[in-house]
Amino acid sequence: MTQLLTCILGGMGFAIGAICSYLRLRHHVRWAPAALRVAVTLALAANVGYLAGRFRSMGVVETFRYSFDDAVLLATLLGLMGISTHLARTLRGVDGFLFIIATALQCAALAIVNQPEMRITGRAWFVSHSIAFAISGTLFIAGGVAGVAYLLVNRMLRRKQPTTLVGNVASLESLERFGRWTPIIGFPFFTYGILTGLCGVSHRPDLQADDWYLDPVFISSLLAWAVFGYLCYGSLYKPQIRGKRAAVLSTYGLGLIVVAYLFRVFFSLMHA
Amino acid sequence: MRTFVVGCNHRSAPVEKREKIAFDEAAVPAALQRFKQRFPEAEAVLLSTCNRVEFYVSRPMQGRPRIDEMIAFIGEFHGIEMHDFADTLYIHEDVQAVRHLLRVASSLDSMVLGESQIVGQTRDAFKTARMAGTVGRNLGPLFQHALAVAKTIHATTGISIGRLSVGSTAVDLARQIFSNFGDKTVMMVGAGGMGKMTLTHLIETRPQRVWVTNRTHARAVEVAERLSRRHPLTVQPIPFADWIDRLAEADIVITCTGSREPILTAEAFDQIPARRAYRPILLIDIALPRDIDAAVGRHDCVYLYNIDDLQAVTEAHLAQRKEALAKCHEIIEAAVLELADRQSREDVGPLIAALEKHFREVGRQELERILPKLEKASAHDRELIEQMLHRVTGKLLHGPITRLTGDSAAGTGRVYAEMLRALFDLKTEE
Repeated sequence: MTQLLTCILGGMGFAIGAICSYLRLRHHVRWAPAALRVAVTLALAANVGYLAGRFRSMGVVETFRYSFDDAVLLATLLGLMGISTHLARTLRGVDGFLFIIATALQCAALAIVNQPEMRITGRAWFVSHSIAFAISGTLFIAGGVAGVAYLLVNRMLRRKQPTTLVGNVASLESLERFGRWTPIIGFPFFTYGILTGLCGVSHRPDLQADDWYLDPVFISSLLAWAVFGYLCYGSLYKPQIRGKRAAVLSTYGLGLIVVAYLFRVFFSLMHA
Repeated sequence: MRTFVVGCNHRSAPVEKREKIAFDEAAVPAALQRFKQRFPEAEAVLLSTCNRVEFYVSRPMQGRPRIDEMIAFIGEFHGIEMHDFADTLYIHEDVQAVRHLLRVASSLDSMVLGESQIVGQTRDAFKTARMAGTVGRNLGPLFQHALAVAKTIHATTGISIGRLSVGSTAVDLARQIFSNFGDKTVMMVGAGGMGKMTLTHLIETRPQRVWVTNRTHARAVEVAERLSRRHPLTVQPIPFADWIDRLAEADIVITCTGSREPILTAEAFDQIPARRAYRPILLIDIALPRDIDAAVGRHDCVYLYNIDDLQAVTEAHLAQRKEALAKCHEIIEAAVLELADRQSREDVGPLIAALEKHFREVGRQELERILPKLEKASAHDRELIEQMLHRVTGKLLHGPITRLTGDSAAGTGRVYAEMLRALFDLKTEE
């Protein structure tokens, strides 16, 4: 019941946030920013309240043995990132995309309400695996969203029809900067998440017999790691991987992260 | 109260006539003071801009100034004969005047549809009138309401969306590509008037460096010096032979030479993106024939706009503003109705009070005449007679008052009011 309520409150709050962001951008609705802040704050409060309750009743380590709680943590971090970009004048428009993804996450979490705990190692250090993936996932999604926004603005400017959105969405330079730094910060967390995941596998004798490395989560995560790794390398050392090319790479990365997440929730043997 | 506006604007009068009856900044308070001395019962706001001169006046129903007196007042202030202006002045009264004010304040009546300057000018005119003491309980709320409506219209309808000049559109584009101009370099190639105008707009973004180049170096130096004098930054002239090489450092380039052939070809530009580390560059080619080969725009990091592209953007903005017009009119009509309703109720209130007073007075007189004759009547009987008279008066007045207040918003209230005033010889305090 609490999980269902969290999903509904969080999902609705983020959905209202996304709608208000759209209304602010396209129709200059005056009350939209205030409504956005209220709705998203309520959604965040619902999620944080839920997680705090779980931490208190079960402890942090036990909490993250549940896919639902992982999803709530990720949605909360995305909501926080969304509200931060909303408050940053230079990143206008990014918040809407982030709230859409946060809404989708909360809605997807409806499918795993009351799901039993995952058969993962119960060692305390393994909690960092979930947290590292939540942080890196948030940062990669934010980077991917910046990439999508960059491509849209770039398309608008190249088609030479920059009408209603000019001045209302973030500049290409801001989007590029945001899209460059978020994966660079998220990449070490993601790498750490993969490494701790591999360590976790070694603590699971039941998986040793299977071809665990063919698990779709593992493969899609590795692909995402490779894409974001190349993006980070390009951002730091190859100037030609910037602008549109970097945005395309982040968009692919975003797609892979979404796919990896869906596999992890619905089709993963390792997280079953 | 009667409200009217007398004035002229860019549509009704040519500049030669407008300038004769325009009030400069210092003349506005003086004119309002003189108005106050001449018509102490009336209220006035004077809006005088480069495109319009308008006197908004509100006076008691039977008071002064009348419209012809107001026109004479303007002529007298400027020391001119107003006969010559008969065909250029417009007059709007009551609801029409309110509608006109809302249209003006919301910039629907402006030369550039949706421009925001008029809102500030209206606010300033209102403030000046308030300081001069010529704004009271009629024009005060009216102007406050007009400014609020203008704010709503600008914020919600998209009437002020985008820019309508090539220069400001270039700035918008630059802002959509770059977020920080403190580390950017703007370069102008050529010294055409349009280029200088665009550069002037771009200088407002406070770039780090501004370069100017021209085939005739002396001309570049002259333009650079002139711009440096006008703006708080150094504009540097650079040799024309170097300009393509300098593209590696420039971020925004305006070209406006008179060359018959492109001065920047795709081949000449090919090496530039790598030298710029693929940073974006905005090229604004406002020359005719074009200065920059269209193939240059194929690079991912290049945003190339020619004069047609910029004009297409400004035309799209104008079209969008026109699309927003219907919504603006809806808001204005709703506001006009609300204001007219409020005004009518305010007008009708004192009249109802006077009507009631008149009837009660007649009743009181009759009572005073009849009561001494009823010697045998007890105190209780007298009280009953008084109550009956009160009820009869109330019932007689109920119908007319209901019609008067009910129809005030519909506009017929004013007709009823005038009739009642005439029939019962009512005097109201306004």
